[in-house]
Amino acid sequence: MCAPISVTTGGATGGCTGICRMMPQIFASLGILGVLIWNFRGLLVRCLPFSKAA
Amino acid sequence: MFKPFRNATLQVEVTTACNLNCTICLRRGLERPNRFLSLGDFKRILDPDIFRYVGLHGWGEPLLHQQLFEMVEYAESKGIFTNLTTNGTLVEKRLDEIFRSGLREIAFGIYDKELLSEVSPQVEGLVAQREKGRFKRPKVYFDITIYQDNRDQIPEMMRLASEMKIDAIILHRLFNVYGVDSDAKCLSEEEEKELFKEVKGIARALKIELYLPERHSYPCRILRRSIFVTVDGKVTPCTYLLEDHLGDAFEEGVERVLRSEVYGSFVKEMEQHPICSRCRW
Repeated sequence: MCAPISVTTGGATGGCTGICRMMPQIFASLGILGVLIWNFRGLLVRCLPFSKAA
Repeated sequence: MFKPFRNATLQVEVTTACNLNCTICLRRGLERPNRFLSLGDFKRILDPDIFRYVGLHGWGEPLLHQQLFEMVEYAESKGIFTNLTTNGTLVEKRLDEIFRSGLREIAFGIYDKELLSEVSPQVEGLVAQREKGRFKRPKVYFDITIYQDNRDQIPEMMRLASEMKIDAIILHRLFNVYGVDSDAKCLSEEEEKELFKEVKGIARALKIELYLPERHSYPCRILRRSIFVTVDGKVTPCTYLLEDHLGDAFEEGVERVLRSEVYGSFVKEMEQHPICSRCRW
């Protein structure tokens, strides 16, 4: 006998599959996107159509 | 509270008794009396706040335990996903319980074609019954130990698995650090690479799920993803380290052991451990 199935498969089949397996990458991408938006917020605000009207 | 082990597996040894005496099995070298974990002790150590999975096997055949499926039912009722690895010889006798309990995953531990042909009727019976009853569970695996003597049999075993409508195949390296079978030898890195290339091709052609061993690193995947509790309640880092007691699951509970300094220093010093440093599982 040896390690349980969930150890050798990394829990791939017992728990979440599909998109759940990509969650770390999705959260990391959202974080990077957030930082980019924050850094370029000035430029983004100037480019938005309603900022011209104001 | 932060739960670092929430996605991990609690591996519980439900019995030390076995009806086989496999040549490559570590159990041959262990002088332990046949014991069975009680349902009460199982409930005591299973904490749904810590673990997502429970693996119900150790150095014994789990299907010999009369209350095994009560344990499965209990774990599932607490939201913990259950799995077990069996030698397959007793599956037929417990078919109804397997389906009724809600067991999620079952693996047949195989190391040669002879054992495979012996358990084939049981495997086929399980899969046929699952189809007949339109059950979604359990997912059925072949868990194959790879070593020199069976290297050439692996493609054939994969084909047989596909014919038997097995859902997935796990290949894992032989653990022979204790030298239980002095004739059993692991594959070299080159041989392993060649084999993995071949089996990936076969798996694609057969359209069967395949799980291969990962590149070995420290702390190893077993330590990162699981903890082992023996039939006596002793907590050890993995099934191969029965002498490394980290604590007592019955007395302290598993969570306390996982948060202890003893566990922490084991993880840090694993690379220098006399067994772990030689293990490539």
